[in-house]
Amino acid sequence: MIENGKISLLQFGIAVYMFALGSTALLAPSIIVSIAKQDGWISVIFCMLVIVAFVSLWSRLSKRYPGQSMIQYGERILGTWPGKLVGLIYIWYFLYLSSLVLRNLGDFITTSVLSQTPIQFVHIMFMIPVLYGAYLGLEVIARTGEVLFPWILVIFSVTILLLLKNIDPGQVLPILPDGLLMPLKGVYPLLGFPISELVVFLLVIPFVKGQNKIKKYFNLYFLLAAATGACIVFISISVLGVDVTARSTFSVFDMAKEINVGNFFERVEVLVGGIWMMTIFVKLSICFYAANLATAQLFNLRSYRVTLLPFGMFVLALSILGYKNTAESAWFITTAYPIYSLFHGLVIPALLLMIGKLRRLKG
Amino acid sequence: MFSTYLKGKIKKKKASRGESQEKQDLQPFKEKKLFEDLKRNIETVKTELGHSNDIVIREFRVGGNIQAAALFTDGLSDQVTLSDFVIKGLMHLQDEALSLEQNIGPEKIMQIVKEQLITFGDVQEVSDWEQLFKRMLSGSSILLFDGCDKAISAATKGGEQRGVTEPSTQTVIRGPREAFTESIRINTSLLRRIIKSPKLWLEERTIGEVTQTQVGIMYLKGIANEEIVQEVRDRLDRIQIDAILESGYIEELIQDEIWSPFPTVYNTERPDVTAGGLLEGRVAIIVDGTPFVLLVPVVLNSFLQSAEDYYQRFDLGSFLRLLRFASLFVALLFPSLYVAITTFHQEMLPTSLMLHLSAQREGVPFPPIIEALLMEIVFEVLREAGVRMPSAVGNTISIVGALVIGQAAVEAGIVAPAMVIVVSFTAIANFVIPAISLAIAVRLLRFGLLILSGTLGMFGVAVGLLVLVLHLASIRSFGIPYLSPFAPFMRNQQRDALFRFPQWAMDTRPPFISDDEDLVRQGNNQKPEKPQGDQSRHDGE
Amino acid sequence: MRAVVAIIVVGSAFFLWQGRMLIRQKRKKEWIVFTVSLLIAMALYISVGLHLSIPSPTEMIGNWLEPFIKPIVKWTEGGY
Repeated sequence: MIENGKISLLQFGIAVYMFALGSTALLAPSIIVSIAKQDGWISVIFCMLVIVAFVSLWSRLSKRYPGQSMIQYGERILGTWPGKLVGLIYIWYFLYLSSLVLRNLGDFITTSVLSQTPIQFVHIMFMIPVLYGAYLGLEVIARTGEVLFPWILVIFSVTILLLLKNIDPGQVLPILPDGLLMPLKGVYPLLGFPISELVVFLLVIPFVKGQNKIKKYFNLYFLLAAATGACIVFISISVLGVDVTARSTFSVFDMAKEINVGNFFERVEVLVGGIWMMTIFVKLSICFYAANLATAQLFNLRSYRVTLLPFGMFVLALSILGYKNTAESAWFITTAYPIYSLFHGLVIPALLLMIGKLRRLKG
Repeated sequence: MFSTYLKGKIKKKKASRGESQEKQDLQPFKEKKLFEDLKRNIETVKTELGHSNDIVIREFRVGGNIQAAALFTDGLSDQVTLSDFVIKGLMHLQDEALSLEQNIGPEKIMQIVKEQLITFGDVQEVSDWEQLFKRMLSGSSILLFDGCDKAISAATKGGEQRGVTEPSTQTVIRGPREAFTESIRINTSLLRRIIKSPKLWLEERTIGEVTQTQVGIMYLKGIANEEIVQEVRDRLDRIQIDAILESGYIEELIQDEIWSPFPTVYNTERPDVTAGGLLEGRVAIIVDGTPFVLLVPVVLNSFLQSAEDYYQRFDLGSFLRLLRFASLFVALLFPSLYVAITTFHQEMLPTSLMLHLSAQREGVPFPPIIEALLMEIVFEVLREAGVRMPSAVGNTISIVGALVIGQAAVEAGIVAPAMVIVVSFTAIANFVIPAISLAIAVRLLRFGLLILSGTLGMFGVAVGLLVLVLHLASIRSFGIPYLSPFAPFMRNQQRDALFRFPQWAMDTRPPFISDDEDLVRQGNNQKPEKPQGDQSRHDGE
Repeated sequence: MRAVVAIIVVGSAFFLWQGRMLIRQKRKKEWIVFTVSLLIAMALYISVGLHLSIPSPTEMIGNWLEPFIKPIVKWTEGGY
């Protein structure tokens, strides 16, 4: 076995939740609102249906081949060489995704918190815990998620409580002025970012204790994340208004700037930024870990730790190369990325399931 | 000095293992068995111990014609016991037993002595030198008979020992007042007095090739997890060292995580805390010569609990635990947050406070990070001095410390008053952590986080905390995840973690420590209920 | 230029440290995978450090998917 750890269902669920919020909750609200306007939060609710469909596809696939990761059964289903090719595609996808997530964080830190620090330095500093986490393995990452989770809930609910007096429900009105089409359009970027990205959990599922309840927990926590997302979009529209939300890059952060309790407790957005540090950390470590695990499974290495340092360097380089500025990233997320991501999250798993059924292969 | 000398000897011994001639460095004697001739035996003892003056050899006659000798170490053996129960009896032997038979051999005499004469507990036959020396030097008296290649060792242990006193660490307001002492026997008896169950088992072994220190493993059979007990045995048996002077030696040799500031072994000098640990299924390691008993396995949470949490009301206990968690965060993070906010995120402070702070900082020549490091180091120096100083001088140190850092440094404009507040509050918060071993870890980590916060602000602190959480999540203590019961999360163990639920609600032992066959601690319905029926009985007729 | 030197130094430190460890453990396959991925990573990092005009993956993916994107963008950005 390359990885000996086992994680509990709760840890799995929390990892799903934090992964799904990841960098999405920081970046996506403004993107959705710019498409769906004041009905952005309804788009997120629509997403829930998509989520249920995706989860049932993924869990059907992993139920068919229990104890194996996508890389392993991919090779069995497609044959050695096409299987290896698919494996390489996924390794690239996870690395690329890691670099994008890292870059999101770097952009966030350099524009909002440390404006004079070079982005490279921020990336390198953040890669240290990620490398350490990936080195320690899935079990430790999952436990770390479990430790961070209550803090996220606490900070998040406190933020909402403190923002209650700033909420202006008038901003959300009128609800659905042009029917359901507008919020449906808002679903499109979310298909790729983050829904399809959760395909990475096809590598994690074999290590979960209590395989028969995976679908339930996957659905539950994924939907919880979507509900949290809807909540975030709703509040940021009602606090900041449609225009400001659509224009600001990190609308959640700008929203937290509005907090002011008795002229003493104000400008605490840095603490709120802490939430996104945590979720981004979990997302990035799982992604990065999955890339290494996939490599080890693909080449039958004895340990997934072999590629940690090279891949770390690779992700650092790619994160700089990734895109020029946040505008380009927003453009990418709304246009090409969903298709690209869906290819990995939907097309390949669906193909694997169908070919497996045709060839009557079972785990 | 002397330990390096001995270590050199041990190395030499290991190098030449198998060659029996050189073994005599540490093995007491090249001859294994005792001689028959009493003179030769006594001579051997004398030469082997270098004619040490505290070895007393009392020669006498038994049964008229048989030469015998009693050997003991002065100060380790109780001379009254020896003379009253052993020598007196032997001298009277000639009147009774010998009148029956004429020519009685030394073997027979030994038999009689052992079976009929020595009137107290632990008496054993010894036939080889190694055993003989070991027993004699740990306080037993040795009886040698001429013409017999065996000796009798009688446990006449005695001598001066420190009595049971109040614990100097982990003090409580409500709770038992006794602490362990340096004697392993007193310590095990203190535990037996609390837990009078036949299931309380004790295994002893001798560790330390020179010091021959007694180390006891104590656990509750059936409650302690057998795998963990076996793991403790294996780890203790692995130890090959010349000396064990304190349980800290054992701790460092059996702990799971070497490269971690966090302790994975709990130490305490309170019998009640140890008993509580035993009742949860932990294993106690008792080392002779130190009042600090080790408890394994242990989780981070245990270091933030005090015995008193269970003796006081549960609401106060819960409050104190929350307070300790908060203090842990303050002790760890307060200076770094102060530095991060004043250097990078001034907007977080209310305007008036910020103006005030910057007015204070006017004229201070250092950036906040240097100021903080300086003050922290000064404080650590003062604290260390306070610990090592004779208590008469201790007061002077605190006055000088308070004056120098508190007053003069501020007035001289070297540090801002706010920094003094931060550092002193951090220091006080650090003392709230009940276990010193964890408090030390926090002290060390504070410096790391301080440097991160000075270079990268809140982002640096967050990165440092992430690494810290990862590290904590990766530690195990004898196979138990260090962050249990928080991660992995166990719902019904939360009753005795962050909060302390009432006694009647904590109805199971922690399954991650104890043997999970039988976890029930108490009967059903232990929740006290108001008496049924007429409540107004006492309200006056 | 300083960045390039730093990358080479760090990369070769990795190579010497971990590569030697892998060779000592006689893991040839692991060593090959490690070396190849390290070389790719260093090459990429150096070309980023030298500001060579290599296409970013984001642009490349955008260009490949151009025909798919156009109708979708028209749909999402389209009016009511």
